[in-house]
Amino acid sequence: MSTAVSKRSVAAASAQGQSRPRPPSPKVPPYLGLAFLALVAFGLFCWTWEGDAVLFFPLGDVVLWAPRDPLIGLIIMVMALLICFKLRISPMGAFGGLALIAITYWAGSNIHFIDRIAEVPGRLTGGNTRQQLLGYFNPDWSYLFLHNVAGTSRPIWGEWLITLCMAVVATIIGCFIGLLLAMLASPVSSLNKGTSQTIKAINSVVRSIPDVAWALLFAAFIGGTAYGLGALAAVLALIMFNIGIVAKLLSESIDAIQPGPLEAADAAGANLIQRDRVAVLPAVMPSFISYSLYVFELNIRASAALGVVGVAGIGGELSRQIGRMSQGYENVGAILWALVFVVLLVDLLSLWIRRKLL
Amino acid sequence: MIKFENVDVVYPNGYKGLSDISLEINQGEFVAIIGLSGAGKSTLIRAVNGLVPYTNGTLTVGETVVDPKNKSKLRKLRSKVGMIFQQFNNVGRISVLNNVLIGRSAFTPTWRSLIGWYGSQDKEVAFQSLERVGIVEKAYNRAAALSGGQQQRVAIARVLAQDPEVILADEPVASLDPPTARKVLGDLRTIQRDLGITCVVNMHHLDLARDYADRIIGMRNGEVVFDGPTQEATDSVIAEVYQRPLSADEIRQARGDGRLGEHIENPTEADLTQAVPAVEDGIERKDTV
Amino acid sequence: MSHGYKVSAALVGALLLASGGFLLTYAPAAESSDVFSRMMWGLAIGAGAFSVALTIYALAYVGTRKQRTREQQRVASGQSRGGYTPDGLDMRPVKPVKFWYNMALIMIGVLFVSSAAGTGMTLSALLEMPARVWDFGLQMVGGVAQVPDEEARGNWSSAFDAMLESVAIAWIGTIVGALFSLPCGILAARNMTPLATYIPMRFILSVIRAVPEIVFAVAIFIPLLGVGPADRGGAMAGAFALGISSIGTLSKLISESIEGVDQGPLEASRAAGASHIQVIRWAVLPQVLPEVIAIWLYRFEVNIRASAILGALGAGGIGRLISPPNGLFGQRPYDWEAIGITLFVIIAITMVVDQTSGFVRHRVIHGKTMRQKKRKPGDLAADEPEPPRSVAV
Repeated sequence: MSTAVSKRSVAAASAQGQSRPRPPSPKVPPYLGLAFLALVAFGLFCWTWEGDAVLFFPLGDVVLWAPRDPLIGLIIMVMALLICFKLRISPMGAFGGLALIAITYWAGSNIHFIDRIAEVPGRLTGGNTRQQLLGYFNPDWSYLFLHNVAGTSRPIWGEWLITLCMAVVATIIGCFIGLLLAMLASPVSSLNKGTSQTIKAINSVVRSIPDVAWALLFAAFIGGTAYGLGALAAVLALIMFNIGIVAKLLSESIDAIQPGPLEAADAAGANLIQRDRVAVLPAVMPSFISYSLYVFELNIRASAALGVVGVAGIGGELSRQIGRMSQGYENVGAILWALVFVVLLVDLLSLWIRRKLL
Repeated sequence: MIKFENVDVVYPNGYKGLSDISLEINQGEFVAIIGLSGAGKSTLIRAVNGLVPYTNGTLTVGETVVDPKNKSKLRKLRSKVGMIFQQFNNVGRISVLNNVLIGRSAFTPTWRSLIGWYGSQDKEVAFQSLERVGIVEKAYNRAAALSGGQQQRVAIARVLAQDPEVILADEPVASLDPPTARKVLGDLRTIQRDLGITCVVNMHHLDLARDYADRIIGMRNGEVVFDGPTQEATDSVIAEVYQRPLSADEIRQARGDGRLGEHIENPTEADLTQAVPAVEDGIERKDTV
Repeated sequence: MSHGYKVSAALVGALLLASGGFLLTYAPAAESSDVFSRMMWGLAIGAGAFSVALTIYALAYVGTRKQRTREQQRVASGQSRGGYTPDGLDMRPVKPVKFWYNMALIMIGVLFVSSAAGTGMTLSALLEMPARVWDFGLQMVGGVAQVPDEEARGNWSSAFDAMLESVAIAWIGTIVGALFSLPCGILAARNMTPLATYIPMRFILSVIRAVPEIVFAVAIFIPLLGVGPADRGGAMAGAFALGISSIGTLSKLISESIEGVDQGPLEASRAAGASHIQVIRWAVLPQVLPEVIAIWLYRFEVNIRASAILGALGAGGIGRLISPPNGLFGQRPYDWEAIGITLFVIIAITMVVDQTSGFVRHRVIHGKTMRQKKRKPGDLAADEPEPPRSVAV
């Protein structure tokens, strides 16, 4: 049956001489432009091959591109362009592909991808990598529960509590401030366009500084990394980190709320604060709770990690143990396993709360 | 009470919403505005409380001139002018009582609404308005959990809590099934008459307008093309407003013959799903207690 | 159990806890550990606050009961309010007792107080902070604003180098995550796979998600790939740690978006006799691809920030440049000009990357001709806003 159908249709088409629409083949000039771009990239690759610095405005010298074996890069790029052309992909899509390859090529050679991968088998068979890995999988639990932090009377498990406490405090304060900022940042609930733009700009600056940098900054601002001060620095850093996340996500939720109740509140003569309180806040409350829980999970991970730069909590102990790695990988292993365990517990807890509430 | 003098509304995108409207609506009148979609009915209503700023002319409510630029004056005006919407515009996640208390916003200090601690006076007013629309026993239910008719009653209660001089209603019953629509509109009419409130209502349903309104205003392309008492709004006049002859079906309904199988101009989802007139919620309530 | 009993039982418990915590603060055991003593302080304060809050709650509860009785009497006696003769229906409902809701609020307060006590923060340090912030801030701004001399030029170039290395790490991490996450996401979508693959896949993914990046970095990739700057393998370790932990989140998000696809085309292609792979290729992928790309790009933004913390552990990138002992913050006195320059570079590059990736995401999801539809203000109530398609976190 089906052969009959296809036969007939072929015959009919040829008989009537109809020209069927063919998929549009991409124009050549844009592709030539793309090929030119590939050549430019190749030129840059070549220029910076042996670590010659590209001058980067008068501020300083920066090696922007330092890929290995530029010829391979060129071949890959040209091949990709040819494939795109054959598959009749639009120039824009081909440009995306080209950019993907060029960036990946640059990034890969920037971090010495191939060299490192080639080294892995050697490391696995010899040296202390093996020992290290074995140590991680045989954690020393007694260290975690019975020992004190070296030179103090604080038990290791107490450090865990401090970490948790930091996360709780930072979550509560950070989410609250984040809520206020989100209200100011969304044009729906803000005073005016100018305020909302300003707050958004400030928020994106806050967000672009990583949490480690915040912790280090605050430790310096407070005047030392002595323990006790360290917890304060970590909490402040986490608060900034939380503000960034909550304000961004929540202001997007506020942008998307139904305009109806807002209009009703306006029509009832409510002022801005009243309107935000009665019409905006209830509408975004579920997302706020869910973001807060999300942020709490992030905080647990981050507060463990932040200790690495010398603030309080389990991270501090972790970095100390890493520092004297040669004495035994079992201690680090115990902390890491416990970290996985605690994070898993917190995830489960927040999943349970989410189910209960939402 | 409400006075339009050569009022124009031009939207920022250049669309002309109202052109040269001159109207006077008296104290205590129940005015229905009819017209096709896009004729400027919503714009007319929203201009009154400044939700849509008018661009030219003078618009007076009571003694005050509506001034879309002056926010605090506008708030003061809005506290006297209640508004009911097609989509009810209740905040779904808070209780009915809190929804009604939104209507008290203009009379409540900001800090009180901020922590949600309303004075007993405000609460009393809210309860009384809920009693008036007959859903006081739902006061602590979540607003989103109510049926459409009940939600619109909550919206009316919210407006009543404002103690308004004017009620504006933008398609108040377009999202309701026909029997409920009649019931809600009837309630609104009774309350309006009892309290002597001026009422301006947008309507799609011609028959409803004829049954409940004192006066009908017909609009087309942002202009008033008919204005007169309900008795004068004959079929031919209405056909002129809509710029097409009314179908026999529509005329029959307009005379009030076709109560149940009413024609709905823009059937909403609620209309389609609730086509069978179920037990109306007011009646249902009596039964359950 | 009625609310009265619940409240009083909780009250007694909280009081016992408070006094117990208070006593234990002075117990000999507490001397051996300041964490313990702080915890006990926290416990005592928390439980005290809890009992006070409970008392208030109980009083309010008693008040509501009175109100309810009054209301019942009023209706029974037929007393009118506001010109109505009340019947049973007009009985005003009494504010419901939201026991668990109130408990949850109280608990959050208690948790906050006791955690604040538990961290052992010395808040007095905050008093001196503003002056320092001002002083250091001025130095940082001065560092950025100065005409670069030889030293500043060195700072600028090392900051750019390190930040670009971070971007490279994040990019490779995202590529690794993206390569693995698409198949994993398809395997973890309920409408694509049988239960026998779905359950183990979900389990593996949630295990990956539960493991923080620093664990991957420290425990697996730093030993495997090396530690330190890029040429000694630290950057690779960071990239792989980010990549592996990206797999968890990315696959989950992708599987969710696959579960949300329109079922119509799937049925149509199944009805046309397409095999499972063909269904995925021609009915599922075209639907989800824009969203998947958006998710990948979003993860790239997240990874740039995350790479900083890995750097602090020796896994390359900007974190290595700033964190002690060898970084900028490890030197005393602090070189605030250099720190200012570095922070400036971090902010600038992160924002540029965010903007670019945000633009591409928008373009991919909405297409070239996307224009904000001008809403006619008059019809505001009539048209519902489109539900947001959230690019989840």
